[in-house]
Amino acid sequence: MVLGTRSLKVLSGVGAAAVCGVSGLLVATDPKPVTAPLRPPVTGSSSSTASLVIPPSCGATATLDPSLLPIVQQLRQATTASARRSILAALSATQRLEIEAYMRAIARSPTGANASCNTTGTGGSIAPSIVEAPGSTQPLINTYVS
Amino acid sequence: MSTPTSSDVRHVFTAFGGARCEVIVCDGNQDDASAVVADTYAFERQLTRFDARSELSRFNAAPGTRISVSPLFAELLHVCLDAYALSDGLVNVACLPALIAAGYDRTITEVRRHPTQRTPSTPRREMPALPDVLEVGNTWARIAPGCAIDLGGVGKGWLADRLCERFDNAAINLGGDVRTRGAGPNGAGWAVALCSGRVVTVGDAGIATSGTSGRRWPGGHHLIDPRTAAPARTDISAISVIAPTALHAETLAKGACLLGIGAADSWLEARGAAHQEVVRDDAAKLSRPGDRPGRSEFESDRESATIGLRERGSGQAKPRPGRSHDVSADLIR
Repeated sequence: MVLGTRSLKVLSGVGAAAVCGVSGLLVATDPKPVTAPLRPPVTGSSSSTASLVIPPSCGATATLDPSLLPIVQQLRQATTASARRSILAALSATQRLEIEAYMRAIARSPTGANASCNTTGTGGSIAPSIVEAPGSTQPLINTYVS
Repeated sequence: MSTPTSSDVRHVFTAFGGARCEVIVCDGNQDDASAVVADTYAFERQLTRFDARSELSRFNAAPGTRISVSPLFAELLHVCLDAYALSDGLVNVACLPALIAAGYDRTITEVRRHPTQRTPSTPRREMPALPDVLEVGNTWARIAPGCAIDLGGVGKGWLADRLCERFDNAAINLGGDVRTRGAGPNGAGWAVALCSGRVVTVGDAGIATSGTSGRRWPGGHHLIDPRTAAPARTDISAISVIAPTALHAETLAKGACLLGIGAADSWLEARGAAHQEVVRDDAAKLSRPGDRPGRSEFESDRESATIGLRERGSGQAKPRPGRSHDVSADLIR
């Protein structure tokens, strides 16, 4: 059977309308998420209604020279400041700084030991105690514009 | 009165371009204090902008490309992004091009000795937002073309915190960025002189001072306002802030100084400052976006006076009324 040009146009239009209609119906009946998906997903159990704040520095995973990781473990197990300093004393200045930066980064990350990543990122939550020094007090330290 | 006892260890040294630094240790020995000094120098070598071999200089020299960075540098870049967020963008370490344009293109000693003659006609505009020009990954970082970083006080504050946290009872001062821990030499706390000369006693605290009275040279100073990409025009000559950490205090002090006296108090309170003290620069005018400072504004008379003292919480210090200080004499050492 040979169809004319006009018939082909009609059939094409009907087919397109059918496809669009079916697609629209599928979209309309598909269950929708309450919120847009998070990229990257933060946790598998995050509530869709929870207020989510992602600090700018969170999300990266700190890395360290693998040869220094046993030192990190020792520092974590040390219970006193003196013991930690004894461990650090065996290292070079650069290694000490790298390890402390690494441990700080881990502590600040969302998956870190204390999950302390927050919007301020500047650390510390204990308000400092400040008292007026007696008038005769000689300062031990000066803070100044440098 | 708190004075070091014979068993305490105290080192005074110079770092960060001639800044006076000191470490006072009450629960350690000479080796511990020496390690603090050595680590400060190592930090400076790695992150100074005045040495082309430093990690910071190599990073700044390769804009637009991912550069492998050390854990230390990566952590500091993250901290810079945090400081930017905490300060509403007022602390923006991508200020190096503006610093150089202002004449701070060599060490402060060299700039003071032979200041660069600058023509103040170059149009300035707001600096780009730090998160828009700085990317930091796990082991890499990238700075946008045309941008460069100077860690400045953010680096010093971070380092003071890390070094002091090695001890239970110690104080670290890195060029005015101070971190204290413990009860001090005699158990009465750490006596710290603020920018006005007033002395307060603190336990665990961070103290920092920012202002326009420190690193100055004929024609400019080092405090860049990211809203104008030029040396700040502020009515605060110096401001000392006490906060939980030195990094926190440094970030807040710099932001408050840029905002000026009228806005600093509420801004600091909303961001966790425990205490602040301001020294006003009566001759200065506040920065406004689009302002272009000229030489005369930086060379005006600098009559300064203690005008503000804000405290929060109980048991805190009371102001001493009527005290005035010449900041340039008191603070520059």
